[in-house]
Amino acid sequence: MAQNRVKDNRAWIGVLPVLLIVAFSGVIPLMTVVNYSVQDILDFNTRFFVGLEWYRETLDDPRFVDAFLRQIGFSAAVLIVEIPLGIIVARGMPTDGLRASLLLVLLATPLLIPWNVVGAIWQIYARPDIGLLGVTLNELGIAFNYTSEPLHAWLTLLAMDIWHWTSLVALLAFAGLTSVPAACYQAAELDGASKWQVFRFVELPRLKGVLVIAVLLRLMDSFMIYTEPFVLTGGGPGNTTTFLSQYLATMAVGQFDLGPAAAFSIIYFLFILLFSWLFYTSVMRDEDRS
Amino acid sequence: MARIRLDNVGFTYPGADAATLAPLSMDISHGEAFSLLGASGAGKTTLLNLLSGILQPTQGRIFLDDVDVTGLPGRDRNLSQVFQFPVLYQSMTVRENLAFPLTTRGSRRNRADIEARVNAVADELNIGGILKRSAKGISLFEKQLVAIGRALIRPDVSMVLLDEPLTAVEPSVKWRLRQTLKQAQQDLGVTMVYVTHDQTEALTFAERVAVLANGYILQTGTPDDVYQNPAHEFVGHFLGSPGMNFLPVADLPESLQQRVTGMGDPERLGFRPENAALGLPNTFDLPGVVHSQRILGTQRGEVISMYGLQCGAHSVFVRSSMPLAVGDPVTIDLKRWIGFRDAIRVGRRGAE
Amino acid sequence: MNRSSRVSRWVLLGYCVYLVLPLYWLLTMALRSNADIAGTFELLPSNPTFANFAEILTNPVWYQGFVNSLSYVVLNTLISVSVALPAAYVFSRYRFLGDRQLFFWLLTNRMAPPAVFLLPFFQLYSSIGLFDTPLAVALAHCLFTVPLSVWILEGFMSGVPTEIDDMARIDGHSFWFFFTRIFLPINRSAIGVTVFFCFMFSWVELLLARTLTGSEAKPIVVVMTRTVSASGMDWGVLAAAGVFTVLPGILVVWFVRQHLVKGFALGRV
Repeated sequence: MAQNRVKDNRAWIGVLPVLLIVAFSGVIPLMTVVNYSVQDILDFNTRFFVGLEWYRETLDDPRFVDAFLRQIGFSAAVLIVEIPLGIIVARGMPTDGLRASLLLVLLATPLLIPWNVVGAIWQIYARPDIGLLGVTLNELGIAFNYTSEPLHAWLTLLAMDIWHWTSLVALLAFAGLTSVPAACYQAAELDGASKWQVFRFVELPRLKGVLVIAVLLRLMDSFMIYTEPFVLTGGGPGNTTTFLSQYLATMAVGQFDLGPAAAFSIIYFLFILLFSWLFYTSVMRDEDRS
Repeated sequence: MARIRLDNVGFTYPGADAATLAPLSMDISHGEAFSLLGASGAGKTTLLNLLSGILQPTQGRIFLDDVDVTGLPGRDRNLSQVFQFPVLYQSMTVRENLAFPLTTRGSRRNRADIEARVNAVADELNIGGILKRSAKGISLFEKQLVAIGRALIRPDVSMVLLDEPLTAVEPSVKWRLRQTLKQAQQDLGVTMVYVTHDQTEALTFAERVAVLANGYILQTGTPDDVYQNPAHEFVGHFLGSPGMNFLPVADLPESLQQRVTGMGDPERLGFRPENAALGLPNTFDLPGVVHSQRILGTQRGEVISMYGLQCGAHSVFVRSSMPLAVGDPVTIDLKRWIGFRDAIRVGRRGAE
Repeated sequence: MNRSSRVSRWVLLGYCVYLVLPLYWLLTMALRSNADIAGTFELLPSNPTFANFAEILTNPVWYQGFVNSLSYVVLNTLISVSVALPAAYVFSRYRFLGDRQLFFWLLTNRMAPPAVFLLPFFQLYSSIGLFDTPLAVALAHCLFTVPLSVWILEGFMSGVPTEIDDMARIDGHSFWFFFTRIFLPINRSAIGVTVFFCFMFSWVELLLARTLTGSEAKPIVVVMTRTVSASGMDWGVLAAAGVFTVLPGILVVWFVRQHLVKGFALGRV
């Protein structure tokens, strides 16, 4: 927020519409979830207060724990690959001209494809019978089949997520790089800095802001991933690619276990908030110290 | 430290009609403080970029100590540069910033040497107290000092390029930075090329000044020389505040015209506001009428004013302590003037 | 400057190939008949056919799906931008009771997993009779797009000097005139970027859109999932539908591409 802001409580009028709409579409449903999470609901007229029972049950549920660990593994893998790859791609981008525009559009395209279509595209692409990737790998002598091999399913999901989201990191990093003044590169050149040193000491410090955002977004969104694995693997083979959202959706809509699903939701939401907050504050504390 | 020699160096952007920098030759000696002065668009940044290796000349050769460096990238010319805005490595401390050029490829040294050199340069610039601070947490003035320090850190640096280094700092500390810079230049004896559009900076900093306009070097000389004896009308006009006055010889009184003939047959006379005296009507040859007055200050009890005078169709400025009011008729005595033909100096009088 | 090294240019090239191959494959599939797809594996379609595209353009289930999707995306974008503009303006210009808390509370909504809201949304919109309308989906998406819009717009507006406001006041313009004729045009690229992100969220989302619609307002993305399961893998038509869903995105990016980099530079996405 800007520094020289005028104090005036009438400004509330300006935020009122936002407040109303977010309260309507956010607070009421969230309250409903909290309400469910402490009740046992047999049907809509018969319900008991059960306190924190559902929370305890959720945290003890081995399937929840498994899905949670898989989720962490997936998010970690996504971050490890996409952040460096996105930065390298951004460094290769030309700064202007038609080529830059076309590349920009190509990079942004996966971000605007409906998520289930992303799943469908990769299904068509990776299937061992009709997919370019699947058939090619099998031709090369690798018995690739993501519908039956857990490892293949994982790698395919990861490849899909990289295809889908690395662009976001790349675009953020590219925008960050365009704000590095030419003089900084020139100074490093005259100082005799190596390519690595230019990246480490000139570019990286100036990319910090956008990279924090990139990591936060990828962390949050990969933690919420639902649609793409739902279409591509359906959580299988077995439960090997069932992540938190999918487990939750099965519970809430599939089995109609309202209480546990609600408790699950709250825990899930709090985890994401906690992760984001921990990451954000640790980065910002570094910032303050220096 | 090195001698810099430009041999017929010119630069034309690909596809451009006119040269951004017309072919020029120039010689800057060991340890000299040299200044490139010109308005924006004059070609001084192009010349700077040719020296630093960002651009390569489209003709001519550049020598550092008789070594041909034409075509070499900046990192292989062993030079350093200070930019308009302080360029520092944000994530490092001040000490690490200063030491950085000594730790990179080609200039690796042992730690004790680095330590000693960093301390020496920090002492010279008076920044010993902030060595441990982060480069992000210091003032703009200190940042620019550190940037200067980084440019001076390599003892064998061939030249230090300064690109309007006082632009970013506050006016109140500009002179301090300039003093520090000049002192460091003298103490360390480095060759410095100082690029600026500010005549005060150029004339006070440099031992020699080159004045650029439209891609040409119009004159190179000592600050006193370019100020007092401009080789080109533009130089006279560009330096000084207000700049040199110009009067066409044809519009001068007969008596004055006769004194001018035989001096290279000039078309126009140039004289500085302080190189003329005023008198009552009929005292001197050139009549004029006061149309404006600006009081500059007092000197030995007298009020010094800058008078704007109307001489026929022309307006000139003269500095004088004579008390006058707007509308008063006066006469002007040219004590020292320069004759120009086709904007080039052809003769002078009163200058020894 | 020469920041792009040879390595990173090769990586970029490789990454572009990696991006294009699945899209290319989607296109070839869309141009082939199902029997052809099942029968032979070929890199270039030898018997290209537009039957799959024709199927989508003539079958009302398909094109109605498109209309439904576009109507809630447009609705959502309109609502989000129009409520976020005044809010972003006051956040960037005024201090008021609870401003910081409010701002960060808004942002936490961006972090809420949509799956959490499935059931309550279903009940909420059923109880007020909005279930199976584009408006229900648009409002549900607002939970994510409104905070995002406020966040992006505020970032841009904070960069506009307050002197502009004062100048308009001194010139005697009404606030309304200032806001619509002076302030909004200055923030054109901000609005462009905001539209991009609202579109990006609302167009690509499936979970909420599927839960809040029945047969009437069924969006294209849902039609696709149901066709897959019903007709035993109609790959050709599925691919053709996929091609159609990719196109609006490309169009939107092309129009906002210049503003996009500016928006990303603020790090507010």
